[in-house]
Order: sequence, then C-alpha cells, then structure tokens
Amino acid sequence: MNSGFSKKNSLGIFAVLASSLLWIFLIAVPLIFLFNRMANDSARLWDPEILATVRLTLNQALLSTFISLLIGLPLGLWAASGRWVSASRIILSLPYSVPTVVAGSAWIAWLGYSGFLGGFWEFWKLRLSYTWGAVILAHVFYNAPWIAVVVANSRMFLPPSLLDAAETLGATRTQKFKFIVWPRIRWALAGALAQVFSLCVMSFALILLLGGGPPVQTLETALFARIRYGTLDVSGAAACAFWELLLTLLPWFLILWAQRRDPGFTRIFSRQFAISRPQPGKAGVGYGVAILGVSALFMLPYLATLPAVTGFFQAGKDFSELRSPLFVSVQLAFWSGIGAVAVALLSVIGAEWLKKWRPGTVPVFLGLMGAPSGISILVLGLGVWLAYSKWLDPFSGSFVAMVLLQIAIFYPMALRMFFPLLGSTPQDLVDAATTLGASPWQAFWAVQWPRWKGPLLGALAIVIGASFGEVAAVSLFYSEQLLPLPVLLSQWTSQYRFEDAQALTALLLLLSVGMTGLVAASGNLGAFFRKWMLD
Amino acid sequence: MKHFAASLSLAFMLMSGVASSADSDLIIYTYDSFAAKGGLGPEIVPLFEKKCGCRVRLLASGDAGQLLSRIQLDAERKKPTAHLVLGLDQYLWGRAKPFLEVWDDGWLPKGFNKLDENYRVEKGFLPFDYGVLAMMADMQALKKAGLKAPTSLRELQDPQWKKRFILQNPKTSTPGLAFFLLSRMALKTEVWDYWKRLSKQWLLMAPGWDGAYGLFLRGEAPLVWSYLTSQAYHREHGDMGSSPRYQAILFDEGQPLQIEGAALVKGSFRNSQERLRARQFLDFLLSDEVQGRIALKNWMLPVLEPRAQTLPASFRSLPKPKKLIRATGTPEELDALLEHWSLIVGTANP
Repeated sequence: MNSGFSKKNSLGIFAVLASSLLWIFLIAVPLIFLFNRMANDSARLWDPEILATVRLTLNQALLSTFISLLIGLPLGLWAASGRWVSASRIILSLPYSVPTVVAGSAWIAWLGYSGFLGGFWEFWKLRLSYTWGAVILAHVFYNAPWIAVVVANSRMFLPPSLLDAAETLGATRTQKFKFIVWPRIRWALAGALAQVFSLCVMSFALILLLGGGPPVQTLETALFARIRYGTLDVSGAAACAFWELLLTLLPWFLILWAQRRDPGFTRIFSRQFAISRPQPGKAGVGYGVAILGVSALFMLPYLATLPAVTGFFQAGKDFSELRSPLFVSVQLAFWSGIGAVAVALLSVIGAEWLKKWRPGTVPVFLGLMGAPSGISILVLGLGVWLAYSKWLDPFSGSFVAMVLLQIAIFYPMALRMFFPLLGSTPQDLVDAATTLGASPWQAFWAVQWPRWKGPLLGALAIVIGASFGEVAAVSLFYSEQLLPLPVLLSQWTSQYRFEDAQALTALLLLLSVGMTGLVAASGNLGAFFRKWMLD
Repeated sequence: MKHFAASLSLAFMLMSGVASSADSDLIIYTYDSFAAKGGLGPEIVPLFEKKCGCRVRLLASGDAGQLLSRIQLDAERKKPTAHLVLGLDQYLWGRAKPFLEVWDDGWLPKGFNKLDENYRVEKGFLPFDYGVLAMMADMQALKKAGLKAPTSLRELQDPQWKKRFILQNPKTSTPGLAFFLLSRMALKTEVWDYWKRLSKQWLLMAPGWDGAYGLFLRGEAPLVWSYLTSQAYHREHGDMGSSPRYQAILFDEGQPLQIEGAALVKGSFRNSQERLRARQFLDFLLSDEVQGRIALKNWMLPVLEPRAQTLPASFRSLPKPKKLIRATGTPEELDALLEHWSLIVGTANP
C-alpha cells in the first residue's frame, strides 16, 4: 500500500484525517458530553410536553417545506431559462443571508398592527402576526428562493443538445421534463428539500418573533427555554435535541437510502457536471428582466427595516460604541467563512480519495460530515461549553470559540454546495491540458476552477452573510471586550434603546446582504456585464 | 495575500486584546445592561476601584437566568471564575444558593440591618435594588380604541382586551414569572381556569421583557407587562404634560416585587484578602454613592429608604401600589407549577 502513495494520496489522507479530527473535536465530543448528561434521565424523551412539541415542529416544517417546493421548483426552472441566470441566482441567494432577527423585525412591519398595513389588518379584523401562519409565510420567503437556486444550478448544467434531440423526436414539454430534466434535478432538489426541512425544524428567531410564544413553539424554542432561564434543564434540552436531530437527519438518510436503490443515480450524477460551463437560457431580454424582477420580490419584505438606518445619522447621536462590535463581527464573519469553506473542501477532497480507496465508506463519511446541519447551534454550543470549558474560559470571551462554533454550524452548508462537484472531474480535459504541456496548476486553473468558482464563492458569501446575524454561538462566548453586533442589539433593547436597536437591525441587513451579494457577485458580475454589453 | 495577512494579524490582536481574569483583583458576573456603556456598572466601578485601590472586572453574562447557568457550570467544572455575582433575583436565589456563600461566620454587610423586611430574602443575598412589576399602558392607543385601562388581573379576560396586551413567558423571563405568581396568589384555585381563558387573550407572550417592550413601543398592543419605573423612564425622556402617553397601571390584586441582589461565589476565594475585597464591594452597594445612582442608571428603585430629595421627580411621582406581593416557594414547587402551566397554555393544548 505504501509503495504506491503519490502526492495525491498524501493529500487525500490528510484531507480525511483533518476533516475527521475536526468533526470529532467540534461535533462528536460536545455531543457525547451533552448526551452523557441525559443518560440517567432517558424518560424525558417521552415527556408529553416534549412529544407535543415534536408533533408541532414536524407539522410546521412539513408545511413550510411543501409550500417552498411548490414555489421554488417552478421558479428555479424558470430562472434557469433566462439569459442572465447568474444574476438571478445571486438575487435569489440573497434572502438566505438575511439574519433571522432582521427577517422577524421586517415581517412584523408588514403583518403587525403597527406596520405599513396595520390599518388594513385592523379594518378586515385579520391577524396573521404572532400565529403559525406568519411563521410559515416567513419560512417560505426564506426557503423558496433557495430551492429555486439549487434547481436552477442543476438545470443549467443540462446540455441543450439533449432537449433539442428530444424535441426533434417529437417529445412534448411534459415528456421532456419527465425523461430529461427531472432525472437531472431530482437529487439536487431532494437535497435542497432536506436542507429546508432541517432549517424549518431548527428555526428559532422567526418562531420567537413571529410565533408570539406559547402555544406556537418548536423543539428549538422549547430547548432554549430549558437552558436559558436559570433551571439549566440539560436533560430536557438534550431530549429536545435528540428529537430535533432525529427529525433533521431523517430526510438525509432517506435520500442516501433512495440513492443507493437508484441504479441511474451514479451515472446521472457523474455526468451532471461533465460539461465545464453552465448553459444559460436563450429567452429574450424582456423574459430575463421578468425573471430578475420576480427573483427580487423575495427580498422585498426585508427592505421594510432599511428606513431605520437613518437613526445613525440623526444629529447628536454618538455611535462610537458601534466601532468595536462592527470590527469584531466583520472579523468573525471573515474567519468563519474561510474556515467553513476550508473544512467543506477538506471533506470533499477526502471523499474523492475515499471513493478510489474504499468506495463503500463515502456515504458514511459524507453523512457524518454533513450531520451538523441537523444540530441546533444552542445544543452544540452547550456541548462545547461542557466539553472544553476546562481549557477554554468562556467567561472571558473567546473569539476562537465563536469562530469554531460558527464553522461547525456553517460548513455543512458549504459542503452541500460542493457535493454536486464530487466525482465529476472532467479527467479527459485535465489529461488533454497536461498533454499540451500545462502544469498541474495551469490545468487546474483552466479546467477545474471554472467549475469550482461559483460554488466556492457562493458558499463563502452565504457563510459570511449568515455569520453576521448568528446569535447563539456569539452569545455563549462573547465578553465586554469581544462584543459582536447581535449581542449589542440585545444590550441596546434591554437599555430602552429601541430606536438605536432598529437602526442596528437595518445595519445588520445591509452588512449581511451586502457582503453576500458582493462575494457572490465577484465571480459572476464581470462576466455578466461583459455579456450584457455584448448583447 | 496582503489582505489575508492583515486580517490574520488583526484577529490575533483581537484575541490577545482580551484581558485575562488574572489582571483583576475582583471579578463580578453581572447582566448585560448593568455592565454595558451607559449602565450602572461603568459608573460605580471606578468609584470602588479608587476606594479599594484594586482592579475590578465586570463580566457580562446575558440576563439573570444566564448568570445562574454560568455559576452552575462554573461549579461543575470546579473552576469558579467570578468572586461575586450581581443581578440574581429572589426567584433565582433558591436555585443559586448551593453555589453561593451564606455569611455563616456572622458577617453582615454595612447597612444590611437598615433594610426594609420586604426586601430581605435570606442571609447571603444582598438586595441592592428592587422593581415593582406593573402593566404599562399606551394611553393614546387606548383612547383611540375607546378603552379605559384595566384595573385588575381578572379584567384581562374580558373580550375587549382580546389581542390587546403583551406578556412574557414565565419559563424564560422574570417579569413573566412574577405575573404568573401574582395570578396564582391572587386567584388561588381559579388560577388554571384563568390561564386557560387568558391563553386566548394575549397578543403574544415574548421570551423576555426587552422583546415585549420593544413591540409595545412600536404600537403592536396598548398594554405590556413591565416595571412601574418604565413610566419614570418615559417621563425622563420627554413624555410629560397633562396627559402623558405612557402610564403605569396598578391592579386591585396588588403588584409583584422583584428584588435584585448580589452574592459571594462559593469556592472562589484563594485568600482572606480576596474575600475581604468582595465583602467591601457588597458594603459599597448599599452606600449612598450606589443607591443614589440606581434610579437613573438602572431604572430600578434603591433598597435603602431613599432620601426623597435624591430620587428624581419622575420616580417620586410614580403611582403607589395598593399591595406589594412577594411570592414564596422552593425551586421544586416552582418547577412543578410551571410544568403544569405549560400543559395548560403550551403546546399540549394548542
């Protein structure tokens, strides 16, 4: 075995070992510590209150995911047929980076009695705010664009020649969808649905802000109530975490199981990215503008928070105290973004290597590496606290702990974006480049980079955006010297500084969406404008 | 690459910039708004440091509930960080007591004997301020709706109040817990029927006071469960005149009391010098220097009989509660009550 090891093998082994060690350190050990606390109190799993919350969480997540699918699937197919597909993908990915605190505040502005439409709701005696309806509406606006992005990504890599051939042979629109498009997009769609379902199960700020409290509760808010207020009911929290983990991982296991039973899966999957560049649609300018317009609609609700940003420019206001938290948040977002993308890359490289060495281990490896997407950050944070507090003093504030925890939570998101690239290396093109005298770097730059650029920058953008609004990890490890913006927001509200807090909410929106748009666009904007000018 | 290197060095600066616990002679866990800029902490700590010639460090730990979680976890890892915890209230005291010193050597803080019986909880718990919980009303909104402010807990069940008030969850918020315990003490055996009816009445039950009050100020509902001193806050910020907008409402059943205290953390002292310094800080909390600043910096009321002239007019003019209610009970009793409450209003009965 040793004799045949090339540099590639060393990189593969390093990737598997490094990503596994990080997984053990960041995920497994904290969870073991946490579930160990529950071991003597397993009866809590059957607590009637917790079981009722499981039922409500499941119903809410299923309904939110189903409606998101109804909107996201056609929207994604439509978006992929437009000419400025990269731009619409960027616009559609923006809602995903809106901090949930901002989203909650924005929806209150639309649905509340004090909002823009307050008179309308009061006149018709309608009330959507502080109900399950409001929660589901917010979830759909959050998640439907994400499903659309994933569907559009898959659909774009479909060679147009296949559809042309089908058309020549007399296939109807339905037949083309059923036999050509659907097989190409179904697994990506399944992955997106599983992710959306998981996020709805773990939804926290939107439930707290828009649900209006009991009886609108989910496992995540029930868990929060158990660890937040003095009682520190770790057994109850762990019971909630157990059910939450089960609910969120179940769809992933179902997908893995179904993929194994689908003989066409590997063939389709390996061909999916065999073409190196996406194929934009051929539709006209008006059609493209309409797609961009509809994509932008999903950002509309959040713009309601923006006028509050003027609060920063009022005369006599001193916001020098904002400087340090802003600096901490920017640093945190940067390092979490880099870290999450790096861990996801290591996992993908590791999986590629395992595929050659022990193909059967790949689903297990990827399943475990992707598992954190089903773990609540509150649970993981508590686990990290219990496991490492002997060495890490959370009370003094720890930037490293905040970064590590955010990496643990966000890297599965990046992993899922890289997942479709697995096994799709166009080896013939790499070989051709090498034969023509290209160095390995040149071959990578010419052949691999165009395929990786989009997912890589997209993942970086989404993690950076998400980091700005992330509350749970930072609230566990902040200190007065290490105060990120979301914690400052909570401090200001507890000091009666509600107007300042609203201005800060608007600033968070600008930061997260601005950074996401900037990073995501950096890979596509140049090409988009060049093409637009030529068109 | 240059930017990457610059960012790397900045991150290290950030990490190394965090002061370590070893730099301080007295470390205090407290809640966020106490330690934050503009709060009471940054105002009184320099005064104490000057007095004792020592360095004090405030570690902000979220809210009162999170303070308790932190001392619990500290005890678990057998590595107490703070010498003193400031901001626990009488509801959390029962749970916190095992981790705190109870002054069993006969020592008492200076001024402790002068405290009104109403504010004393137990030895080991030094009350330094208190709040009276009350319903805050937006009088403009009430006038617009043609409503008169409610005068009792029972009145909140009337159809006219449906979706017109905001409460806090008693499982995650002290004011919410105080409301629940007030209802229990006032309504006795009727309490569960009351909550069954009330669960269809409130607009929302927020997880904490800040979220609830923020929505009230946005105009989501004309009533919110808050502190009597919220009225003083609005008066100090320009809501005055013959018909001010925000008004505290008193209930016939009485008003619950929240007493905030400080205590010494068990096992945190390496020598008698450290304990002495922490005790000096407890003495200091009852001094005029601190008590005189509580009203406008912490928006609570001082525990030592305030010399009337030291309290601002906005506080002196607060309505006088007909009855102050102090709930009692062990943590276990409280747990059982809240569990039952959850089943009545929570997910099991949507």
